Amino acid sequence: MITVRTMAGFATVQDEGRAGYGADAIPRSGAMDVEALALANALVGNARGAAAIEWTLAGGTLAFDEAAVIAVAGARAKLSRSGAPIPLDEPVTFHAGDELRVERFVQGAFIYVAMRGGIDVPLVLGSRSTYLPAALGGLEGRRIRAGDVLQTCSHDEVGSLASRPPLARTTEREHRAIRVIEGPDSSAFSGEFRESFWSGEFTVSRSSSRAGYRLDREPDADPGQLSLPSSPACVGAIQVPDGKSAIVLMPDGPTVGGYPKIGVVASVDLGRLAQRAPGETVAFERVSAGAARTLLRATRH
Amino acid sequence: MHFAPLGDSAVLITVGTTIDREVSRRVHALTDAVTRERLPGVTDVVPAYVSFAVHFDPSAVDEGELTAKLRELIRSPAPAQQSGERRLVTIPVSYDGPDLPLVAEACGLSVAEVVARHSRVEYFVYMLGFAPGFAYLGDLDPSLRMPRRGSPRTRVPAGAVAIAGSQTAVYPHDTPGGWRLIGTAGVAMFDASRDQPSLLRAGDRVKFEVS
Repeated sequence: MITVRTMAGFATVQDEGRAGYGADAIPRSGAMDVEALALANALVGNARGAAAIEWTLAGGTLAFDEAAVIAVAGARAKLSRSGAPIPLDEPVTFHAGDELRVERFVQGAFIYVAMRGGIDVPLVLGSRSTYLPAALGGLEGRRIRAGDVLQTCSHDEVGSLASRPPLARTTEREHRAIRVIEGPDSSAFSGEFRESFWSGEFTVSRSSSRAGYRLDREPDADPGQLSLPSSPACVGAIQVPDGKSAIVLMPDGPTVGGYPKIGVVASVDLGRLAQRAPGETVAFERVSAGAARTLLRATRH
Repeated sequence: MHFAPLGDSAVLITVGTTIDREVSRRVHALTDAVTRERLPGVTDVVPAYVSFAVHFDPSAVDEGELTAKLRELIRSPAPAQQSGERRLVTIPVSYDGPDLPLVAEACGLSVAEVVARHSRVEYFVYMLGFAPGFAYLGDLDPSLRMPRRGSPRTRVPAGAVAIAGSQTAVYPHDTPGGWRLIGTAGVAMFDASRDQPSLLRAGDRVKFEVS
């Protein structure tokens, strides 16, 4: 059992999310950076979608009352085990009485703290992911706070520890631009607006969340008067409610959206976008849906 | 019928251009047909007003083959037919919403007349969206149509029965919301512990009953 001693950040239990409930308007939820979740899980021998702690903004402390193997991946952060620094992206053994401290975030937005066995919370509609607006999943449908107690699932079914990061984290992760597939409503925008969108540089706004990232820029083009019936959305869909901001829908975003979608972020780059903290810049690069799938398969194999 | 990629993991199929029941019924029939088929690699099928999305796992299915199967399924006559009589769901409502007097005044009607005009219509679920279990119901009596509030309330309580434009809905959760609140529903619109978590499905018929 793990006790949350302090929690200054924003942490929830997340796995790969609950797909299949779009007709009920239930968002997929799940990890903002699924590749980082998969890496943390692989390092402790879990299946790639086991439930872990997704943690952002600021630090905190977890106390272990029994031995555990954990790994932390995703954003770059300073970590310690009972006062001594420990690395990211490696399995680390904790003994009874040890404390994991997330000191601070250095770069990026979300870390994933995976524990051997995975976090044990009830499955809700097939997933342990927390969706706060409807209080689904996770720890009683809410964020993790000081005083909470977390359990891990039985270790019987987990694999062996990975000796090195099993996922491509180098060239693909470092590609600077966020690759985007042209959206179904792209042709509804003026040519001038489209050109400015694809060549523009955006800044991640502070009013970004697990539901959507708001990307701001100086207004330089009028998207025109666009009125289309609300249509199905997806994680990564880019909506442009005005000429200034682009809203990228993230895992807790709506299943159906009323604003025209100029593009959809390639799945392979969703985690990279999620790791851009407020104030960081984002530029887009066009890619075909087929090329985006090829990139995704290359990352996963 | 128009197919377009919705990113690398979904295809958007557009059935019509204007919001009306005939287009919606076709969307629902096609959504049901694709869902029933349980195509391998398909992770979700989501209807909206004039279109629906088929989400898939691109590492488990070839997009070209999937699209070909979907075109075939859509072309075959079965899905074009109505998938039977749709359910009629009755929702008991206490007409006690904080905006009821204002709505009555703006529409030039008595409160009793607003209640009568809201509760005598059989509504149609165009789609679910906005929040888990939130169903967009139409069509509201033309005499009750009002724009949404200029600034949304930061908290609308779960169960609030609301109107906006030509639509009405019941808020399933405590959420921010800009619709006009006219009553309170006596049933849970959403419950994750039920087999079917949302009370309403796209295509259902709905009656509000004064309680």
